Amino acid sequence: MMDVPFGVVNRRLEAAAYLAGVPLSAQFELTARCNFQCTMCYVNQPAGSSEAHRQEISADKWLAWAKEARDMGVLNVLLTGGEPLLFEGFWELYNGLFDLGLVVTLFTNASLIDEAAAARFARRKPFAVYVSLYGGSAETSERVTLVKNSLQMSLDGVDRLLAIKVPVRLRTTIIRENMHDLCALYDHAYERGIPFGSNDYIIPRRDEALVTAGTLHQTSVSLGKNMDRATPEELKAAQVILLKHMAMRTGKETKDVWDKDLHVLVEKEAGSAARYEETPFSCQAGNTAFWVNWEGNMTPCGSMMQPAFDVSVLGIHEAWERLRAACRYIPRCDSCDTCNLADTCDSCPANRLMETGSYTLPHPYLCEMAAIRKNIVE
Amino acid sequence: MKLKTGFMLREIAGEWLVVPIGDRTVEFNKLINLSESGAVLWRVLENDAEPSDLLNALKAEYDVDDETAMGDVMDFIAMLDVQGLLEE
Repeated sequence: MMDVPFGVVNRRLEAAAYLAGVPLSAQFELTARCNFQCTMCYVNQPAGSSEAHRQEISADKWLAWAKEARDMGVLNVLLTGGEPLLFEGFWELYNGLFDLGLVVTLFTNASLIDEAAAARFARRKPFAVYVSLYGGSAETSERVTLVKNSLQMSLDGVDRLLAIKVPVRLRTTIIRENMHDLCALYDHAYERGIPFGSNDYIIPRRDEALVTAGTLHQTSVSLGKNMDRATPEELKAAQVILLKHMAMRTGKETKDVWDKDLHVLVEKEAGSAARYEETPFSCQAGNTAFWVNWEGNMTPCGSMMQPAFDVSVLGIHEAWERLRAACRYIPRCDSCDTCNLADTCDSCPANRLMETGSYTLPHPYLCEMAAIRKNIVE
Repeated sequence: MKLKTGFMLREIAGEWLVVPIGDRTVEFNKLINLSESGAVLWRVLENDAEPSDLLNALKAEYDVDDETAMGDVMDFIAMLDVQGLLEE
């Protein structure tokens, strides 16, 4: 009998699950609705959208799907959105997942975690909660989320989770509107003694991707709500400042901060160490994980609208088999596969399709981002 | 001798894991990785069982002498006790 760190177990399970052709992880996107309206979000709908609300899958159905996934071998379930706590049946679903023997992780902005919610989390603790913050200051957060007092609302939720000893990790997405504020944003994590990570690459709105694909051939583009995407050089400059600040705070070398802290993506933290030879995905998507979006379609990941399989019609098992087969037919990008920047690049079937309209073409923005990350610690 | 309630033995991709369920996650927020023989013993302890029941379960499953099997049984019980998994 071994009591081992979960990451170690998960990596071993991932390799075994891949060989067996079964999923280990499921990501449930409960709703696209969110009480924040972040300018760069790829999916959000207004919290009060009755149209979006009407189309959401019931908690009963999600639980039935979770049970089916559990019976196939799924261990990890991620609940996300939009803002998952807006989902009408959230607590019914959340509590039910714990009775199925699943390890539950949550992505949230934490702003809806009041005392009552914290008390519920205290009775059934999630494995981890990833909280997205978008500004170090109230002003920056409001500018990004378009909601007054959003920063304090999120931090209050974080503090309530920490008070009941739920593991919390803070994340941010770096954009022009908040890149001046990253050190202050990091300090919210540092002062609480919790891990912090960032994402420096943003994609167009998922539901507009097929419309915009093929037209994103500039390094600075208008996305969604007319917001210009930061250039790779701007992102590099902002992250260098942040890295130095983090190094100063922690006493670590900037290289260690970059390698082990800042650019650790969620997938990497979960330990995607397996080599997936049969699909062009280097992450778990379509290999040992699937995403079910708020409309009930199973896709490889949250960035993709295709390949998609209706779980209400097929069930989880059949949808997974079809997804797995479909992923094996997605063509590779030969130049990306052989590129010496591959280990710092976000190029993947999802992002290539978003950026170029093709699975097989690299995109200059992705190439430039990979290059700046390679040399970010000089 | 019996296991506490609130744990589920799961086989995932050929590995045996003990996962806390429901309210048990409040005080037991980790996974336990069992060997195949550990899983055999775990199943026996889901009902009231004596060490002799565990011994017999191992011998039914594996070609092992009494002394070795009893040593494994006692080690397993000790580890369950340390982890706080046995009922008082």
